[in-house]
Amino acid sequence: MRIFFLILSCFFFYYPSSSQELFPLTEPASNIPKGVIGVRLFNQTYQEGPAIRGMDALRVMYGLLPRLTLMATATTSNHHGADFPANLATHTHSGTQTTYSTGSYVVGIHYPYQFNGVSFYAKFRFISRDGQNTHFRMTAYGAYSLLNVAHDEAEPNLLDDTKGFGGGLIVTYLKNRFAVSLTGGAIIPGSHTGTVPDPYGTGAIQTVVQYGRAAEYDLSFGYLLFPKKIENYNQTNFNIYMEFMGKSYDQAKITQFGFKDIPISTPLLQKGNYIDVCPGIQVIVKSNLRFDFSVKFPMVNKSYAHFYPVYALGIQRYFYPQRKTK
Amino acid sequence: MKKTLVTFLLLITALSSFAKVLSVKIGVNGLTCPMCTRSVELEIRKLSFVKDVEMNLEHTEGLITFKDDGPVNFHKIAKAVVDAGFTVRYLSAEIKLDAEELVSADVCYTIDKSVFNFAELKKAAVGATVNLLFIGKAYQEKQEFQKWKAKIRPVCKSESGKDVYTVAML
Repeated sequence: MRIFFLILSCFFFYYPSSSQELFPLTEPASNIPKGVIGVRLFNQTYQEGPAIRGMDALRVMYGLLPRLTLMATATTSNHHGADFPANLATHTHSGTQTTYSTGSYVVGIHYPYQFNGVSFYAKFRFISRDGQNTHFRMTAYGAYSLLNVAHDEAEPNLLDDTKGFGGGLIVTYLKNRFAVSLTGGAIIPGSHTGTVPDPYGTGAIQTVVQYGRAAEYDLSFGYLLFPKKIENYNQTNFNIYMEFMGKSYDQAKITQFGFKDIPISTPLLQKGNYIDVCPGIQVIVKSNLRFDFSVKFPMVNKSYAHFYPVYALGIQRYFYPQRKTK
Repeated sequence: MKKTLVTFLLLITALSSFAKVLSVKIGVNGLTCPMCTRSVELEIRKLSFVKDVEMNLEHTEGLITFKDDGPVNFHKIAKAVVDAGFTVRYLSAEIKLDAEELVSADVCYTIDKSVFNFAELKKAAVGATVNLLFIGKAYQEKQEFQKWKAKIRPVCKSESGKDVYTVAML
């Protein structure tokens, strides 16, 4: 890890600078060309005790306008069961008193893969300051997800865990080989209604989890490592990346039997914040076919929505319409 | 005498039709990778009047040549760059003059559907090949446009189906 940082620092500070902003895990402020369709397949995998957790996604992107890009992403994963874990929240009776509590987290439960749903994303570039081999751009984005997942952590994730809305700003600066991008946004998640078994054997209890509102903040760096001299489209490009991905989120709220705000004892459902660091590499073949590989490590605190390290793989290609315009 | 005059006028008309846009050089700002440059090239290639595009990846500029049968639309070339997500640094056209000598900036020189309004002109003879730099926000960097702004004299009026471009002879 230290060696990677050292190599990255060397290239950032000692090489004459060109660049890449095609970050493996975050979106840059730039758009897809108008009328172009992009297809991206990606996977994220981590180990949770004895279980290997995976998420596979298919993303279709379209440049509706030169400044407006639309995306739709469908995901499958084995992160969660079809319903909440049995011990998510329970209660005990003592005379006429009912005491509610949350259960402890059980690691490595086997879940089959399931279709999570589809999330939508749009970004509009409203500032472009282009120069020769450089640009500065600002973009506003909005996200909406239609997911149906029995997510049992407070942290929202519009890609594959929680339904809801999101939005924010992206600022990207490129100079020759070097790119830096800052993303700041908010997530307003929805809730999920499921069931947990009644400990007193009267069947399933309807349980609603309202996930915590969150602020996202990502800082991404990219550097075009090879070729040293850009001459033609057939040269294979190698890019290296370092992304810092952070999130602060509120505590979840659980409602059972109409009893709101069940006391939360597990850290999974409490408010939290963290910053992950994600080094990555990328290969672009024939100026179109893109392969990404990155690994996510904890840097400040930890996310309870995934274990570490998280391995991410991606493959992406643009399809350019060939129809002639008069 | 009358016959000679008619023949002369026909000759002039015929010569006008031979005035030709030979090529366009375009500088593109904001390009930092071959993938981006390729997007610009493919966007320009979509234009029906474009025969070929040769991009210089290092200097982020392109040389565009045209088919013989269709009029060149410079506005659409600049728009193709914007549609690809980038901006035009400069646009210049190599043009062969066939119809008349260009001696006055008040001349509105027409090729196909393009009318050229001169912000700056050097004397150019019939048959000469000249380079025209396009003046305007869509064809230049902001600072460069500011330098030319005062020289723009809207002599030529827009006609139906024709685009008026302000240019300077290099």
